[in-house]
Amino acid sequence: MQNLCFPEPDLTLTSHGHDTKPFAWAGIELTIPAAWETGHLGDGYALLEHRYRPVLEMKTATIRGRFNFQRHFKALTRSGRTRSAPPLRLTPLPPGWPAFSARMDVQPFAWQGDHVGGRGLLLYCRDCRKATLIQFYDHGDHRLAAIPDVLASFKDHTSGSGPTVAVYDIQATLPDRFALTRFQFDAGRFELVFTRSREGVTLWRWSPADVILDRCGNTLSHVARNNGLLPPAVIDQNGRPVEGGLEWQWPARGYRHRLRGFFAHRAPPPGHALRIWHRSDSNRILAVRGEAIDTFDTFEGICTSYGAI
Amino acid sequence: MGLFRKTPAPPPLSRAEALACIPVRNHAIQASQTPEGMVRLRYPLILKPWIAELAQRFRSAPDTPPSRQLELDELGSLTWGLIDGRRTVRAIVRQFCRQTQVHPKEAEAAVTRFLRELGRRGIIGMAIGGHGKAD
Repeated sequence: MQNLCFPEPDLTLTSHGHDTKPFAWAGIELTIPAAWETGHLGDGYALLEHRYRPVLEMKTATIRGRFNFQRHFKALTRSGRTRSAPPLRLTPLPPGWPAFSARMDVQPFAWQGDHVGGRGLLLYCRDCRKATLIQFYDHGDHRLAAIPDVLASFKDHTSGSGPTVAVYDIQATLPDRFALTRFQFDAGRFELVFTRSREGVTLWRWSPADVILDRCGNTLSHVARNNGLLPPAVIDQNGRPVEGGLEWQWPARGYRHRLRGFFAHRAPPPGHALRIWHRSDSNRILAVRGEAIDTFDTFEGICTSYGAI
Repeated sequence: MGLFRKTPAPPPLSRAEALACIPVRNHAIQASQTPEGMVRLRYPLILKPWIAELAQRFRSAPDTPPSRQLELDELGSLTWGLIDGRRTVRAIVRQFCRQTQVHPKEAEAAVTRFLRELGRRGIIGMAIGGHGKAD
């Protein structure tokens, strides 16, 4: 009897046929090979993997006060768990790696452990005062060939064209100054919370959609209710149908909100809104909730930009 | 002092080693299908000897070992079906990922957590460092 085996997937191609994809986290944007996957995310930290092995690690922080290369380099390269980290060597910029803007201080480095090595850069942008450490793990294979292209795509302050967040299989673009304040990535459920002054935006993603819909009676409104996305005031209302999903809007109930409308001599903005939709092509359910959003166009723009990579 | 010396714990498996393990079903498990198509597992309870002795005296049918039932959901049933004693954890993760269209990292987290839970209940064992089916 013969076993049916699936062929090894071609990890150099994405579902849409491109061999690269965007990666954006903690204000850093990169274009990475499509086969690289998000491995671990933290506050100002990201680890990317390829075939279950680390391939790129990134740490970033905004520097307060005066930037000291040696001190911040030491702080960013400090490892909490490794007792005897291999020594770092400061090196000149390797041939083939891109040159960075004159407003950036760049220090390449390399290290070699028993089984794995690494090379990378510490970058400091004098404009946005952000220090970023990027290192590529060297497992002795072809993965390092992608370094020049990945580094050439590096952006540490928003260009206005790229996504605000592009991790795992989701990406979204938010207006300026929306900061990520909370995030949770559990198997099957992602949640990202952004805030700007009193405005708030929450993104959700569930997978696999068919199983979740099956448990919720095949209706998106049940998914929204079961996950506590709707306040008691509108929990019994049927959502307004939008393309592939449902939408609810409800006014904000704070005195600040009413005063804002009063002093602006216009009707107060819509307040809060929730949109939930099903992406059957990728078997995902996506939802966006906007709280005290300035204009409804902002909410619409976020919903339009939010999707699967 | 040798009498009180602790046996050193074996070093923990690396991630690559853990993914190369082969989950093997316990032969004492009785698997059946529910009318909804889910898998129901009946597995013997692992009790301390004195609790087992006590339980045996007070049970109505003392000859049957104490057991419990566990009903798996859709994803659990799918993973259970992939445990064939030849596939490695990595192969199960890949297959799960293909069949459910979830992100590979999510598939890895979900499948490994599920297998750990089955292992804790004695429903499966792990063959370490085997040369199982890659896919």
